[in-house]
Amino acid sequence: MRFNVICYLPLKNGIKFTEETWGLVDQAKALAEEKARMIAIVVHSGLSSSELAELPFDEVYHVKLELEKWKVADYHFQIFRRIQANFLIENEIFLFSSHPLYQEVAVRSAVRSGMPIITNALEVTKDENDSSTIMVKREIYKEKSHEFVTFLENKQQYLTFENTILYGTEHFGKPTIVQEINIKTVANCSIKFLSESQMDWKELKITEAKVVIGIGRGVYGGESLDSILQLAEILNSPIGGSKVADELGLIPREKRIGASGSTIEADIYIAIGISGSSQHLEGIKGVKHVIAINNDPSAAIFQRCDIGIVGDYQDVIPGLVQSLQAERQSEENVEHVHIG
Amino acid sequence: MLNMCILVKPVIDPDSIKWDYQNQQFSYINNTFNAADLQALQWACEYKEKNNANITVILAADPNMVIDQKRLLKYNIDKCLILQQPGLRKQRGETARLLAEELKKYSFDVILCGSVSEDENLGVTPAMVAELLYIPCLTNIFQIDIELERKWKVKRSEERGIVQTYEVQLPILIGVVTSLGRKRYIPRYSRSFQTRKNIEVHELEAPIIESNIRVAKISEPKPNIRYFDIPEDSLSPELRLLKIMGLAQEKKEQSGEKVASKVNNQNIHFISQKLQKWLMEG
Repeated sequence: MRFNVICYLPLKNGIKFTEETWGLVDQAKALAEEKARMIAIVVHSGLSSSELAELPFDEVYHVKLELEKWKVADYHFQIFRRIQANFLIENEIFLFSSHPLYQEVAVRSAVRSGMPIITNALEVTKDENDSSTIMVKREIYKEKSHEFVTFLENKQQYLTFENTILYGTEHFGKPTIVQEINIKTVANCSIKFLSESQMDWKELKITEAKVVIGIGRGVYGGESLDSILQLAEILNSPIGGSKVADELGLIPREKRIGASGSTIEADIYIAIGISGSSQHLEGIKGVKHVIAINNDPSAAIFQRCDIGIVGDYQDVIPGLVQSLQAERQSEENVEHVHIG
Repeated sequence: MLNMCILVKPVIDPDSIKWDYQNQQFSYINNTFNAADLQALQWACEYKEKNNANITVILAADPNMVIDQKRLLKYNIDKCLILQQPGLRKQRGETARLLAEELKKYSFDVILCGSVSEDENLGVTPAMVAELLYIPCLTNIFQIDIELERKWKVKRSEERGIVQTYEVQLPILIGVVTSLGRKRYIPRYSRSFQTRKNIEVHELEAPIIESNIRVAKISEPKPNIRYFDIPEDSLSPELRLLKIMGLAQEKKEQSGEKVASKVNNQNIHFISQKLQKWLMEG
């Protein structure tokens, strides 16, 4: 049996394709059989027609929605149902990201059409004997086990992918149909999007932050931690630390990074006065860039870091704070010039 | 006074369960309640203390599961309904259908539950129940602020510390996460005797409909294998050990130019520029 693959593309704030989008496109390509139609549904709040006309699909159906409505799953669901009504019911598999917004749309649509859904897929493989049958790998019991599930025969199937595995690079194609669907009225919903904000560094969890500062024994007994706090404020980064920092009372227990604490996946980690024991390095294995400041040149953290400074943090951090502040100040001035 | 319903799911405790490699099956299977559901219940009880409310707890479980009723009785609830149906765990989405059927008999202002269950990691129940009841739904909520009795402000956390604020009108179904308030110890309330009378157990028959999703296999967690450099034989045992531990003294060779040994303005400027660049990348 041949399945058409229909992707509901995830976007950032309704205006930008991200790695998650291209990751879902890659998954769709891997699933699509020869001669199967690949269809994209794009609900956006400001993508250009050229961007939509370059998507690597056979058909692209898109709808424009105001940002306030774009943030509410209920509007997506209404639009999705209307677009779906335009398709002839064939054998179709609908792919979504497991991001809460899209997962809600997927689950509600599956319930409304009475079709099966598998959520939070980690890996999808085709059956060796029958390529239309897929086997989905999922994580259960807090990553303690994997389950392999499959759809029994159905005309329509819904599948959501764990958004952590959706990662791809942009590529282009030439769709034969690029059609804007005019949906004049959508029923008002009792959920209203108000605002989006960045959480303050004091409330932010070390596992969720983009930049994390880690402190260790090296900062214990130092004159003051003011400069580190200033740096945390500028970069909006929570302060975590090593096991020793926790034991010395520099950080609370829940901010400990390492094998006996949290594992972080920040983009940037600034290790101050941390030697970098193997247990601590285990906790930062998912970090993209590491900056290390330590006065011991043989500290193991220097082997993991992208940039390292051998020196006293009390000399480095105030300078760094000053430099960053100056940089931000000049950026603000430039903005004022543009506005003026 | 608000009429609240909390959906509490009995789950297999993921903290206790272990994969028995010898027999290729799970061992140490214990039952508990889904942590996010209990967090929702705790929040509802705190709301009740301040504003007065009527709290009903509904559970749907397989008869084989052990339900710790005493633990639920500690909370200041008014009524508890336990729906037992054989083979419930084998049917995907059946829990949501069962709960929705029961919920149709009542009129609740707000339904609270966890966004995802910690054992099966499906995350479908809140949206399914809401869809079957034709009410709006919002999941992954970590903060609820009461503006007016029927108009609430809720916050959803996205990855990377982004917070989205929504205004919601009741009735609604809200799926919460475990960070909804701080988990606290619930002492044994004297009111449990009164609530005990209000626990109803409904035994239901297994449905005739077959599940349209088949679990083919459940396996042990696959280990992440990482390969490290194997130290050369020419090194002394002491140096080999130091190298494995990542403490080898080959500073120049290993660290190269990325580590500066002087603190000067040039280095600081370099770090600050790099920081800005990496921040832009995200």
